[in-house]
This record gives sequence, structure tokens and C-alpha cells, in this order.
Amino acid sequence: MAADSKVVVDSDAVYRHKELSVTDPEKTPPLELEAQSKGGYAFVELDGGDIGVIANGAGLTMATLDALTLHKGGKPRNFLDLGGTDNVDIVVNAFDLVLKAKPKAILVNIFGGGVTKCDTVANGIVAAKQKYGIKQPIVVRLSGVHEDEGREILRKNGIDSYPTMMEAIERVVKLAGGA
Amino acid sequence: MSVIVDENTRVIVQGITGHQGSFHTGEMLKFGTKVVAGVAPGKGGQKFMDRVPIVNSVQDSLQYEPNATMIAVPAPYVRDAAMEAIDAGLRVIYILTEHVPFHDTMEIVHQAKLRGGATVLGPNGPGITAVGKCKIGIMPNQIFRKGNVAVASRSGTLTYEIVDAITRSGMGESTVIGLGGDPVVGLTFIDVLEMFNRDPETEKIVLVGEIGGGSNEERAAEYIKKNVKKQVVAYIAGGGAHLRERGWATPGPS
Repeated sequence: MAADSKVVVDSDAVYRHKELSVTDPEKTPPLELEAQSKGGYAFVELDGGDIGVIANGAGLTMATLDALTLHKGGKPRNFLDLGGTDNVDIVVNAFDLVLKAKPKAILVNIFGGGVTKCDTVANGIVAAKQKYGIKQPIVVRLSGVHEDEGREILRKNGIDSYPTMMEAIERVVKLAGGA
Repeated sequence: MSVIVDENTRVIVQGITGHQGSFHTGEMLKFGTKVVAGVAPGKGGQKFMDRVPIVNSVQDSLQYEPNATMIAVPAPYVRDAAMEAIDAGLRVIYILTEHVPFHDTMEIVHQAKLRGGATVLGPNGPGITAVGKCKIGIMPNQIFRKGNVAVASRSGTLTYEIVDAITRSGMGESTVIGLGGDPVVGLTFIDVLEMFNRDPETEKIVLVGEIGGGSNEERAAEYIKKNVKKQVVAYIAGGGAHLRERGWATPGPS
């Protein structure tokens, strides 16, 4: 006799079992559902924060939140991992999600590598700023593949950018009115 | 001597004609990696960048005497690609691809152990680099400088961030290993700690984990206390913003 049973579905194997849906729309916050439907960003809203965060790679995004919280006293509004980005629209849509969480300032932390190029991300930031008429300050850190090209694109469009994560974090915390 | 790969590593790329495969094969060649062939079924006989022969199967690549492979095929095909590499007797199998079903990875790791003991790395990792000798994977070439710090990490971009910081500080790296961020991967922190401990080119060790690592990181801490005399620095990302309380963590080995 079986008294209880549990099933864990591997979301990466769902293509073999299309009848098994993994997301429970009733238990998932609306912005996180939207993030999934818009191409699978990993997005988490965080309570009480005021700095919107966009970074690439889960590890780097977590490290960004750690550095904001532990070292500079910043309060992140969200976690958003772009994944690998070689597409301007992916960056633009990420801004759409973060803006809906109403941050006071936005930090973008990108280390170019893999398929991610800094100039593509920079073009995405400029396009998002125009498309959504973003009023909040945007602070960008760009390092790695095509970083010089990326920083030049941002400079021409009046957006601050820094070569290291800690410089960018210091700046965004200040702009958001923190320590 | 370095760890897992060195100047004698002869690499094939499974999936060399794909978007990721072709760009990064070019970067690996620039780094100095001996890429001896590429595998792309149905495209045998062509050449990649006029220099690397493309063949139809791993068996066909054996004429170029490879001993390692980088797998960059879509997730549903990774298991078959890895089995081909195991059958052909390659010694190092690096799986870059993410979203590989973890039962497939379990089978790959198990079969590699049973049939000859090839070293499996990944899935879902950025690669392995023995600085100055061989790079397999997608890490940016320009972040490295030869030195005595070994790095093992479960992350991708966070690995670049940390290697870049080591290089900018004036130090350099011996071997940098991306273990892969999936629940099941080929090597644990303890496996690579043993290798770094024996490696005469390594004097310091950096470990990078993520929350959700299960007991893997804890066991590594105990192992270090008992066995490692070299200086070790470790960082587990994700503790700061209470992500775990929000039910979010990268799934890890337990």
C-alpha cells in the first residue's frame, strides 16, 4: 500500500512529456509569469527594494545583489538574469519588466562573453531608454567582449558606464538615495 | 603539468557549425588550443575557417588523434553526442550545453565511469582553461594571465568576473574550471581540490559556489580543513538578498 507519493518534474525534460506543465499560474507572481512568457528570463521580485537590477548569468546576478546588499547598503528591487544575449530585443524586454516593478534607479551589470557582446547590450539600453522614456537614472557596468564599443555607444547617449562592478554599485546606491 | 587539460590536449568540437560552436572554436584557435577536428553529421569533408577538418562522427575524427571533446549541440542531442565520445575513448568530455535533462547527465556520468573513466565536465558550464596551454569553452580570452591561482566555479559569467579581478589585481591563473551549474555535473569541488592540491603550478585556490549547492560545498569545506595546505578562498553567491527565502535558488547537487 502506498501512503503518499510525490513527483518532481525536470523542466528541462518537459519536451519529452508535453502533457506535464511545470508552472503553476496561481502560485507564481504576475511579473514572474510575464518574464517566463517573454522568453524565459529568470526574474524574481524582492520586497522593499528600490534598485532595479539587470545582469547576465545567474551567478553574476546573485553576486550583484550580494554586493549591493552586503557592501553598499543598497536595496535591490528584483533579480533579473538576461542569460546569453546577442539580441537587442532581449535587453529592451528586460527593461520593460524591471520598469513595471517601479525602481528608483536601474543597475545593469554585464560581463561580455559566451554569446553576450557589450555593444549589443549598450544598443539595447539606448533603445529601451527611448522606447519607454525612462526617467530613472540608469547606471551600467560593462566588461569583456566589445566593452570599449559598448561604453562609447552609452557615452554618446548620455548614460553613465563603469568598467568595474563596485564603481557602478557605489554610483547607483547614491542615485537611489541610499548610503 | 596542469589540471585535466594541457599543451598535449587535442580537442574536437561536436557541433562545430552551430552558432555557439563556430564562434567559440575561432576564439579557442586564437587562444592556441589544438582544435584538431569538428563533428557535424552530414557536413563531413568541409573545413572550418579553412583549417579545421569537419567529419560526420566522432569515430571519423579519430584519424586526427583527439583526446578531448567540447560538446556544443542542442540539449536533446547531448546524450548521444557524449555516448559517441565515450565509445571513441576520448579522455575529457566538456559539455557546454544548458538545459540537459538531468537523467541524461546521470547516464553520461555513469557510462563514462563504467567504460574507461573519461573525465566529464558540465553540463551548463563555461569551459576549462589551462592558461597559456589550452582553452576549451566560451570564457573570454582576454581575462587570463599566467599565474598560480586555480579557480573552480559553478557559475559562468561570475567566473569571468572573478578571473578578471584576479588578473587586474596583478596575480594570474594556473587552471580555471567551470564545473557547470546543473543539479548533476561530472566533477565536484572535492574532485578538483584533490587535483589542485597535487598541481605544482597551483599555490592558491578560489572556489565559487551558488546558493542551492546542497551539501557539496559543506563537504568541500571539511575536505579543505583536513587535506589542503594551500590557501583557499571561497565565495557562495546569493546569500545577500534573501533569494532563498523567496524560494529561488539554483538547483545543486545534494
